[in-house]
Amino acid sequence: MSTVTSLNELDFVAVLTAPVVDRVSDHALLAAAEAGDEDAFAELVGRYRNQITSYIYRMTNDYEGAVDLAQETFVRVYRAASRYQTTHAFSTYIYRIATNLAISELRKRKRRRLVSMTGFFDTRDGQEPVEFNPPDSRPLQDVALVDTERRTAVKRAISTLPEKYRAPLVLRDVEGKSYDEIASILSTSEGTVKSRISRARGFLRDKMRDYL
Amino acid sequence: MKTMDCRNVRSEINLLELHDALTNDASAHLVNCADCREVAEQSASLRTLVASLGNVTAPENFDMRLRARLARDRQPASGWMNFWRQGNGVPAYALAFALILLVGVVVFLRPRGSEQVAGTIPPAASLNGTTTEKPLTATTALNGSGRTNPSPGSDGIQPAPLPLAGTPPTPGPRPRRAGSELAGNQKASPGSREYSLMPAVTVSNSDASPVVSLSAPMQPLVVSMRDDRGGKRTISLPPVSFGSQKLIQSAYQPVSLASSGKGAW
Repeated sequence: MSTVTSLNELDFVAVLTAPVVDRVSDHALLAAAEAGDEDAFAELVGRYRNQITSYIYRMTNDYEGAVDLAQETFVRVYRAASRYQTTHAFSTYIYRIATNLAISELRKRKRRRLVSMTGFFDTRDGQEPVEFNPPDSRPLQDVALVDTERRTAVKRAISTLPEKYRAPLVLRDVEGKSYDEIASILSTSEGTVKSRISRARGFLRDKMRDYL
Repeated sequence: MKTMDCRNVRSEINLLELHDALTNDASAHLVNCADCREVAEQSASLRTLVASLGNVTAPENFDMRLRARLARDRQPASGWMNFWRQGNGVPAYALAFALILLVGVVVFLRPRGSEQVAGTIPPAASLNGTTTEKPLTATTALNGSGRTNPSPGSDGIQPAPLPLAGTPPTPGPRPRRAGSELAGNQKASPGSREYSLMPAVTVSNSDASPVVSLSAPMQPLVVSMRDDRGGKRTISLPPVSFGSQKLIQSAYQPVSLASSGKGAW
């Protein structure tokens, strides 16, 4: 172990060290975490915790549940670190885990609802049932309130989209992922992703017609 | 001139990104189509609204909670619940399945009808449906009609009474074998014979006309059935014997060893 002999040398070491930490790839951090380096895993968590929490929140429209699922995502990453393969980007890998958890949670919620009275409405032939989501027609007093109401409405509208349309829409329009990356996360083709995003935007526009 | 129809234009609108422009053909269509123009405006407004949602952030204690959770996961659970959760490396389902399989194999391989000991035969039923309750002996001659003729011991065959139910064991020397006390203490089930405990029948070739008769029933069992429409069905079951089918079937007559000319069999 080398010792620092002067103050100037200490500064030099500090300058060198900081950018090196930033340049460490996700793969290297995960490999270090697998070897028992908890700081490396903490660094990895710091890079992705907000993105994953936000993504799951947009999928589930439930903040506390999203935080729990984000934690579960990192727990799974940690446990499966030895099985991780570097063929895909780490971000693709972790988003795939988060997507699976979010979809699983949405299905659990669907099962919990014994009878959905609203499910009888707004169903078209050959399409998945989309829950009826009537806009609130009460007058609003303030522009800020209008803005808040519109945002609340669009969050609610997104949360009522079918899972297979919701995930690509959120990944594209909220998270800003490329079609290629979305296709990898969802394990499907790019054409399917484009088609689903197109339909999701159409559904969303219909739902939000009174707010636009 | 409409170079694109509304469907194609709306499809292009749906795939349009926030700050991208439509193609020239689609733009030309929008000039003349008010509906598509409205759809395009709504889409742009919606896209702006969705993008303005932004990202939420994780709570400040996210890392601390995650560390606590990982530490909790690393601690081994205690007690028998841990065994069933983790199974010491073997899934609990596999253990349960192996247990069920083991019980199934034990039940399947258990000797069925344990009251029927190997070497015994079920009580012989007579052909006319009545149970034979007479003590049978090896010298019982069969005359073809199911009747038995007692033949004396002078025909060359040393008679040996069969230990049947209700027949007390005859005194005399018996072959020693392991577990032979079974013959004395065992209460034989009605109609069953323990042939392994009986002395062998000695057949001598010196007498003139030794006759070996087996008491197998010789008449076939015939069952007639009539149905509601007047039809009649007859089922004939051949006699069944054990071990000496050929001798009996050869003539349905008592077999004479002297006449066979073969000597001993």
